[in-house]
Amino acid sequence: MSKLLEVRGLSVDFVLPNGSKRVLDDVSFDLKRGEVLGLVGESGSGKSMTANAISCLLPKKAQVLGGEVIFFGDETPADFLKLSEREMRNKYRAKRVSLIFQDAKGSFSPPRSVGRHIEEMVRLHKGVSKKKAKGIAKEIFGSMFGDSKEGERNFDKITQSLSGGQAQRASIALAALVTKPDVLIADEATTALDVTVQAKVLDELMQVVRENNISLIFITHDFGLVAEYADRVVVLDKGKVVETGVTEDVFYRPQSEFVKNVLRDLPRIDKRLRQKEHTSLQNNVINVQNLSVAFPYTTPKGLFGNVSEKEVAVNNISLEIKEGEIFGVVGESGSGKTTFMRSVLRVLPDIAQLEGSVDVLDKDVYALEENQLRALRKMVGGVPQGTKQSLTPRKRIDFLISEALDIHNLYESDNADKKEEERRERVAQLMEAVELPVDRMRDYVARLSGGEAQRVAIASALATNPKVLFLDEPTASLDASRKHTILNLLLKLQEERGLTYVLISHELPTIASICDRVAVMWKGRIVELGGARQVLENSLHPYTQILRTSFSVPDPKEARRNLRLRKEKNLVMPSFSAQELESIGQSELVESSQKGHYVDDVTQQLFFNKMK
Amino acid sequence: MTLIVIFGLWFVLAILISKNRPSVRRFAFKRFIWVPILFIPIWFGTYSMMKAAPGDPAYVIAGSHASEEVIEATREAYGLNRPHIVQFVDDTWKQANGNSGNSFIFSEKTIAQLAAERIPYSFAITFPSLLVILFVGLTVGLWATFKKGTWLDTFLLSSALFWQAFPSLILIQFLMLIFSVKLGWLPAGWSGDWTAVFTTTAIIPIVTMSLGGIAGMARFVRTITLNVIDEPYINAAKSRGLGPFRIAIRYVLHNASLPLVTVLLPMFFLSFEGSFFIERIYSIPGFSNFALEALFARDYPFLLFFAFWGILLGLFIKWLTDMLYIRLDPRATQ
Amino acid sequence: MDTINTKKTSRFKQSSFAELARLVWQDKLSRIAVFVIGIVVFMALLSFFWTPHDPFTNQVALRRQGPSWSSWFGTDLVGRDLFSRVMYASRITVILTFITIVAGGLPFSIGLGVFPIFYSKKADFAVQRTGEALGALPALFLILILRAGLRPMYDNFVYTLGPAGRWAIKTGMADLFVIFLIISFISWIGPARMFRAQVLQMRESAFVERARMLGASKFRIVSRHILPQLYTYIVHSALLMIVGVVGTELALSFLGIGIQLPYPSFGGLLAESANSRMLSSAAHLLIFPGLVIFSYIFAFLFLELRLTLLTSSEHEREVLQ
Repeated sequence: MSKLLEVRGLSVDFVLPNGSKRVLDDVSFDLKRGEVLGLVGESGSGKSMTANAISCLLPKKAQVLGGEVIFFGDETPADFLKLSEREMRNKYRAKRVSLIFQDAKGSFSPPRSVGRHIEEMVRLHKGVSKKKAKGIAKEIFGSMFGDSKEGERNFDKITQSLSGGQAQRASIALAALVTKPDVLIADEATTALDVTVQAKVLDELMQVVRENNISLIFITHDFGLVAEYADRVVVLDKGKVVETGVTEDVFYRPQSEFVKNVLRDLPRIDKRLRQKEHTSLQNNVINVQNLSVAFPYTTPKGLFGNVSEKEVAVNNISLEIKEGEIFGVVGESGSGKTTFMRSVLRVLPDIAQLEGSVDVLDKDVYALEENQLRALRKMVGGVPQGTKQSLTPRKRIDFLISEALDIHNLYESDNADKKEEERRERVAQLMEAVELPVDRMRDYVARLSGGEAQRVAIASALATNPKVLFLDEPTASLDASRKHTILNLLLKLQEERGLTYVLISHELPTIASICDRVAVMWKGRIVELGGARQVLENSLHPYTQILRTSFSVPDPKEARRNLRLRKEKNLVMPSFSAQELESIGQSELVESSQKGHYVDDVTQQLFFNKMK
Repeated sequence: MTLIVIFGLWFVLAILISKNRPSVRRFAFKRFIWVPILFIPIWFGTYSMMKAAPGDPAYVIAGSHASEEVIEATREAYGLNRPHIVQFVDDTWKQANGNSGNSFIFSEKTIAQLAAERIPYSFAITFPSLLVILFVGLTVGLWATFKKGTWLDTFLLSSALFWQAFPSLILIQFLMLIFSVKLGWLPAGWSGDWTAVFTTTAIIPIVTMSLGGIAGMARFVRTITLNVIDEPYINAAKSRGLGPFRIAIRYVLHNASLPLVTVLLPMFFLSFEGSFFIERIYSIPGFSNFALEALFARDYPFLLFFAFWGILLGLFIKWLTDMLYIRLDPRATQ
Repeated sequence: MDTINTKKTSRFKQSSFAELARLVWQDKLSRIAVFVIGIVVFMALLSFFWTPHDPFTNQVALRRQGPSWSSWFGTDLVGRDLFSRVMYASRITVILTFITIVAGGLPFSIGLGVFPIFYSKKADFAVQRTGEALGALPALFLILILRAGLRPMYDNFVYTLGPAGRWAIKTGMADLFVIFLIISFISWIGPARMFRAQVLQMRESAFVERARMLGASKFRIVSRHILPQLYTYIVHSALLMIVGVVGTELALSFLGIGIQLPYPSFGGLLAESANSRMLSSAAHLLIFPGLVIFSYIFAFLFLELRLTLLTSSEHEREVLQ
């Protein structure tokens, strides 16, 4: 394969009011024709900057200190960095080098339909009449959607009305299929998507790229994706290239400490962190029976009327969570897992309509009076989704951590000074427990990193010494090594305090690492329930199997096996029409041949039928 | 009947605006139906407040020194002894038919006549001012956007602020002081009819009216344009090889015009408030000037006219603005 | 994202009032604006204790004189000392400024903008519709009607207060109070709407969720978690509201329905200058009061602009991290 693009010694600084920051430091790598190059690194490593630098779309505050970006696509090689903006725009952008962004919806002008954007591209780059352009645009657009009906429908929609996957497909059509560039740079293109959608979109992207002989620079923070799709890999850390090579070499024979550490720490579905086996005690800490939650909304109908409709978030689920166990709830967006958590903790918005019963520590949560409810809250803690977002901005750490103490007045002393002392002590204890340096007590929230913020949230939930702790996406926005640290911390705390955890996550590896039992949720229902090993290794429900194979493993052989499985066994997420979804009816979990392993046979059948 | 004609035209406008866009149509008509529903309570409330205010119309008509019998007779003659509701319905009906009665102050003329006479004067200054504000403000605002961060930008912003802070009643006096009294270049009052707008007579009032507006417009344009430029789709458009002109018009302007529209229309129609003082001080026989006098003199026929059509106009502006916004931005219907 | 913020930038990240004050003080231009406002405030306060001359004494022989050593701003149409009158006028403006912030439009807009939407749908609906209805009318018109309607009742009421009431009327405080009430009635609507929009967004945020999980009461959430996020908005609204209120008073007094002459107010003084047919020999009647009130208004607007710039550069730094 011949060299198509060469980046040599690229160094870029950000010029800030209080000094400059080195974002790229002597970055060099090659892209060969027809290959998929994975550019991987944690957040802040400079991967997006590299993409911007190559296409000369750096922000104003960026200054290129040196280096070359040489494009070998024509007879005479050209250094992009030395070209004028006009040359770059007229000759290379979109025609030879194109980009896809993480925020697919953000790539389109909000009030305009996506189809118009494609028309515009067609007219600009192919110089055909308006009418013809529309036809071509429709064709191109439709080719990204296997079922052309969907393509036609979405053509005239504005980005807001599209789903994440559809929007990304539209932007692939826009960036790659009109001009068929030599180089396509996908900058975290699927990071915002659900895993099963991500798998589909990426499979399709790879197909597009191979069919049109486009060389792809695939930028991601996910080592697993790189293992699955990339031919060669470039690893960035803090603006420097720490390792490059063929994928197998990088993963099986890593040279750099950085890669070695990442591979060691990254949670994997097949790697178990929790060693202890949980013997199921009989005490039910949480008992949910036939819980359904719906959110009503109105849509306009006809000229004046409004129709009230309901969006069902949780559809008749029943669960028992036992004392001392770590229970995992896994599902993608829309599965109802967060609503489930909010139902148990009774923090649903007022418009929510709830049916069924929720018992926590043998008390019916929804039958309690205000002060009884408040007392119960001391026993059940929650850490909501979003690491930094769950901490009130502009507040200090000690305020947040001790807030529960203030609300419930859990102080022993009476006078104000003694209380303040006591408060500080308690905060210090909690900070130690979550491994935060105590001298940061008076820091403001803004100075915390993601992992540190997560710990503050956990500490504040532990302030009242609860028996149960709910955690919503505890590892979602963290880098690999931090995920590992948090999971270990959770295990430690569990040991020390005898907690029961309910861990909600869309990340299967996280769940697999530490959960004893797992419930898999899909569209508000539990489709599979059982011990972690049972559910993950002997998955009965097609959805669980799809989920499993959609998750990328940082191991090329395993990853490619998943890829093959997806193709051969068609373990791809089918799409269901609205009517099909409505007609499902009540789900019921049926025990399988294995004890304690349940499956929802109704949806199981539905999936089977669709996947033939 | 006048009212019916007006509503009829409004209806036609609704149809025109929502041509080819079913979602817009639904909104257009829904909002249209709301107008009378909103209008009636507001109008009733205003009407009642006016009637409740002291200053018996009878005294105004007959003169404050008239005897009791005369006052009573006046009241009878003008139907002021009837129950409140009856008066309300009657007056509403009269207004709706364009029958606004004669002014108390200028008792030979009907309100409608007076309005017709005076509105052209007010228009003579407000309309040109608005054009000036629009074009000059847009230009200055865009200029400041491009020169963001430079001294010019800071200067423009500060001077914008300067002119915005100047209350028009002070500004016009200053201008008159400098240009009329001290320098003698421009006249110190309005002379001639509304066509005098094309002469030097109109310069001081138009300038006074525009300066603040230009400043406000420039700042506004600058803010929204800067916001739009920061949006991700601009960068994405660049990455697709689109040129600066294309991006400026189809992406930046298109998206920036949305908030602009919401601001523009109200400004356009409701600029009467600002012209109060200008007309007063510069002696322009305009509508605002008269409105003020009428308010003080308790010219009830005028007040009723003003309130009735004023509220209606206000509701119309709101409706029109909403419609245009929805027309330009499909998101608003979601 | 997992980056660590450096020590240097954190100094500016928090905008509690103390931080805000420091920010303003360190910016040289803002300092000038504050200084200007301070001068006017000082004049107003001083006027309660001392003025060069009595602002009400006519000395017809000395009328329409320009600035001189004895009369710093000159005399007006009936010989009253303009400087003293300006001092008295600044009283009105300054008092209005302060009560708007403390007990007028600002607390109203916060109370009506932040709390109803968090507590009850009905309350929110009621407040919204009222705001719309009040906003549909031209403001000046509404003010005039309200004033016309309320005035007689109010005058009666003030008389019944006896000596205190008479003092109020004499010093123009009675007038001021009415105007203040009426203006507050209207000025809360805009900012309240903006606050409401912000609260609506924050209501669904993760940090509110967390507070609820801990068992925080609604009041605690609003006062300790939501309100602090609104500080910058509140300050901006306060500044703009002050400008609006002062401007409205100016207009009303000018028209003769605000502070009644002979009691001095900036609007009144400017009305006198407008009515004077001989601007050339009485230019000082326009220039001095005009400049003072203009500077006051400009200072506030300038602060508002400056604050936007100062606090947005924080944002840029945040975004970069």
